[in-house]
Amino acid sequence: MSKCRLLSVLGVSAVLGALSLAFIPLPQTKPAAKSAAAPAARGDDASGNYTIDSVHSAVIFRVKHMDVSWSYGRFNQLAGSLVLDSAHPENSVVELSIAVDSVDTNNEKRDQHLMSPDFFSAKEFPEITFQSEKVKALKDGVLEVSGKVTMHGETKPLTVQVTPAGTAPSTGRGPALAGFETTFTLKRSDFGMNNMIGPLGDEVFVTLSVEAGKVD
Amino acid sequence: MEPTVSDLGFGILLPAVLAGLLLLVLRRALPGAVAGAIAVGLGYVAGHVGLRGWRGWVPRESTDWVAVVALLGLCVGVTGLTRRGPTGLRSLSRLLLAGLAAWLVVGKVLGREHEGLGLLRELLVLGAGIAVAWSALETLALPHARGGPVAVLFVTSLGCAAVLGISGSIVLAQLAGVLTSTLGATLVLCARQRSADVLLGVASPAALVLGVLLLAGLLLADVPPASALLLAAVPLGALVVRLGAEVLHRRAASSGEGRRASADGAGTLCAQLIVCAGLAGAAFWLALQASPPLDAAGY
Repeated sequence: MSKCRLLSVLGVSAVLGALSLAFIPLPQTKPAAKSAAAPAARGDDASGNYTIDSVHSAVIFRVKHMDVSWSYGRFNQLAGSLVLDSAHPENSVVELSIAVDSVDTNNEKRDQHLMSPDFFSAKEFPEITFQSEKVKALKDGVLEVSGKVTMHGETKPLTVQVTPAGTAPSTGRGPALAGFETTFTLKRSDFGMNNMIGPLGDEVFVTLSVEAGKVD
Repeated sequence: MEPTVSDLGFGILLPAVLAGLLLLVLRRALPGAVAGAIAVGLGYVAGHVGLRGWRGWVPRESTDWVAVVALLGLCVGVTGLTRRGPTGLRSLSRLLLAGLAAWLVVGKVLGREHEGLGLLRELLVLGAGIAVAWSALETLALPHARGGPVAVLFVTSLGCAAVLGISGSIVLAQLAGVLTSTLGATLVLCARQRSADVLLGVASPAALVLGVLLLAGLLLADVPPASALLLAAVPLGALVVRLGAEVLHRRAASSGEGRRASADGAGTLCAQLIVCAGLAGAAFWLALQASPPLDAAGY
């Protein structure tokens, strides 16, 4: 191969390489999630109205079975809204609603039983709701949220500590995001669900993880 | 999900013993229908409260209203509200009472999808189903029917408990079991009696309680509609057999052939029980087919 021909091949290759770099989209990296406690420190305000993203949120629970092991389950449909006020957390508001008939314990017969009048009576009491009444800022961005939870037709007070999981700014593909997580314990007998206490534990350990998108 | 000692005590023994004692004592002083209504009504309420506990007034859950329906049936059975007056008025009374019972137990759930006249129509349709079965039961309580009609009720109640149990609700099945226990005690005490007057009183609380338990199973659990219809048809099946036996008896009597067989004889009772057990068995089979498969652990 002559020197001239080699140079022309290399030249064409270089031009094609440059063009491909210019036109082929590179994988876009998501903006790194930040701690929700951070925005205030950086002057980045996460305040605003948010709608819960059911797909990226989860309600999982575990209950003792035969005093031997933990049975896990989840609710697949969660909806609700958040009003966040970083400067005045006490003005923040949380509203959650869980569809009882979305209970999923990886066993159709058990799910049917859980939805029957023996437990949730899903047709009679189709939703579990939480409405916050008071929000207090604790250390490290943790919020203490107090409110009323309604389940199985009974309304009881509930106070939980909510840990911020992160925030992300708005991008061209979606709204600003904020994430939170909390774990708490409920006694099902407090809500009139007394069936099979013994073989199944009375205390239910719940983990609620929420991702919400800003709406304004 | 094995039954506990408490389940057996409150769900089977208490209602059976109480109903039996009440029937034994009251039948001496009161008409059979009144004694039957009180025995089955109070026996059921005792078992219901024993199993579920006293959960306050006003009842919050649909299942808690079933005890109130039993008391309503007791009052109807004692007063004889559906046994007096012209046929049309008696039928209307049954329809309205059954509609009221349906409203107490499943009115809240129906009210989510229907309101006003639509809700009323739904309640009357459901109530009509209960009222038809109730009428069939009272029609079965003919003189000389012996314990046959109570046996029909017992089979219906047993089938109802089995269908409810396989269709997702142990609580509803237990409540049907409570009624089955009271009916079992009544059957034992009435089996040798020639008169079926006790059934006239038993029919009101039993038909109303069974009716609303089936409605609760249909609307709150996963009882297949076909199973509910078959169970509701059990008293009608027994009535058809009884009417058929009467026709055969009349033909035999008019032709003078053979020995005179009674339409209330053992043959009729056997045929009734075979038809009733067949209908209840078919209801259970359908519920079993519709139910998600059970695993080794019972789920």
